[in-house]
Amino acid sequence: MWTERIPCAYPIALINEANALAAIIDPDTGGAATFTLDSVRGGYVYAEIPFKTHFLPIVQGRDSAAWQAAIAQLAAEKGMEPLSPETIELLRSSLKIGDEIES
Amino acid sequence: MRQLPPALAPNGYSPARHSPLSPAPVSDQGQRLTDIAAIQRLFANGENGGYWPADSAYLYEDSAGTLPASFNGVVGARFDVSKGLVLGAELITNGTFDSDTWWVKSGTTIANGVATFVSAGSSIYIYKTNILTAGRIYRVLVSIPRSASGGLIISDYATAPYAETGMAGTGDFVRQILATTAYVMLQRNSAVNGGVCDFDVDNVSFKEILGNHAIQSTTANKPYLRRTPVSNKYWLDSNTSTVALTATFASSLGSACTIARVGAEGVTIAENQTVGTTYNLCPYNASQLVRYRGDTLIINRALTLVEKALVTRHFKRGVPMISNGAIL
Repeated sequence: MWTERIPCAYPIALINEANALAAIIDPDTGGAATFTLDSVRGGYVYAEIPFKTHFLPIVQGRDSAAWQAAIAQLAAEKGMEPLSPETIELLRSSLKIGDEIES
Repeated sequence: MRQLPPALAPNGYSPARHSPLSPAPVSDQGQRLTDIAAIQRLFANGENGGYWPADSAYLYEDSAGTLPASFNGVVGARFDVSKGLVLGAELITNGTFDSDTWWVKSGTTIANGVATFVSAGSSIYIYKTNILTAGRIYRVLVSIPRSASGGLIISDYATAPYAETGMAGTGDFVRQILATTAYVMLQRNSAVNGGVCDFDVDNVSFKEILGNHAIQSTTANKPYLRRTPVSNKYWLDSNTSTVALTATFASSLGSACTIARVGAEGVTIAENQTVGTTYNLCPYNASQLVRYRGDTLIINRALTLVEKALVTRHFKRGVPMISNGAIL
C-alpha cells in the first residue's frame, strides 16, 4: 500500500545527506537521485515522494529514537553504509514535509 | 419479459444483468491475446522498439520487476512484450563449477563441482566482469546444495548487494535483478549470521529477460498505476514533473519511427517520429488535466494500413469512458 505523493524538502546545503537518507529508505535502488538541483523552492531541494503507508507515520512523527532505529535497520537490510546518528538527527530536524513547505 | 432459470440459460446469458434474454458481454480475451501475438510479429524482421501494455500483468512496483504493481501503487518497471518476454542465452560459462576456471575468487574455493564459501573474513566472493549490461533485467538461478551457516547474496561489485536477492539454507533459488554494472558477483551475505559462513554453491545461471523494458528505480519519480472506476481500464498516472519511466534501446531508433499510444482522448498513431536511445513512456505534461498513459508501441519503420488497423483495434481496448467531464 502506498500513499499519494508527499512533498518533502531539505535545505540545498543538505542535498548530499538528504540523498544518502533517501537511498536508504527508498524501497528501490535509485533513492540517491531523489533530490536534485533541478527542483528547488525557496532555498530548499524539493521532491514529491510516494511512501509505503506503514512508513509515513515514522517520517511524519519525527521522533528521534524512531528515526535512528528505522534508518539503521533499513541500511543493514540493504547492505548499505549507515548514516551517523548526528547526520540522522540533522536530517530529522531539517525536514519540511507537506504543508510546511512554502509554495 | 420472461426470466430464464439459470439452468436453462443459453451460453452468454447472465441473470445478474437483470435484463432477461439479453446476452452478457462476450469476453474478447482470446482475440486480445491473438492481437498481442500479431503485434509481436510486427517486430519479426529485427525491427527495434517495443510494445509496453498498460496491463497489470506487465507492470511492477520495483525496477527489477519482481513485485507486481498494485492499484494506486507506484510502477518501477513496465515490461516490453515485443520479444515475448523470453529468456536470452546463458551468460555463465562455468556455472556448474566443473573446473577451477573462469571465475575470479576471493576467500572461496572451486572443487568437486561446487564453489565453497567458508570464512568469517571480510571479502568472500566469486565474480566475473563484462557479463551483464547495466539497465537490463536478468533472471538468476542458484543452487545451494550444502549449507551449515551463513547466506549468499548477488552483488554488482561496485556499490551494494542487489536488494531482495539474499539466499540462505539449502535449495534452488530464483532471483531477478536490474543490472547496475557489468559484474556477475556472488558474495557472502554479511547480514546473515554475522557474516560467518559455510556453504556450497552450484548451478549458477544468468539470463536476460529480453526486451526494452521501461525502468524507474527512484521511487519519487515513478508513476502511479490507476484503474478507471467503471470501464476498468488500467493506466499510468504521470502526476508530477519528475515522473519518467524510460525504455533504453541498444542504438538510436532513427527518424522513421511510428509511435502509437492510448490516452484519455483515444488512440493516436504518429508517423515519421525521431527516437534516440531512450524514450520516456510516462512524460509529465502540465497542460493535461489528467495524464492518462495507456498502451504504447514504438517501431522503427512505417506501419502498413492493415498493421495500423490491428494496432488501433487492439489499443482501443484501453480507451476509457468519458462522461460529464470525468474519466470513467
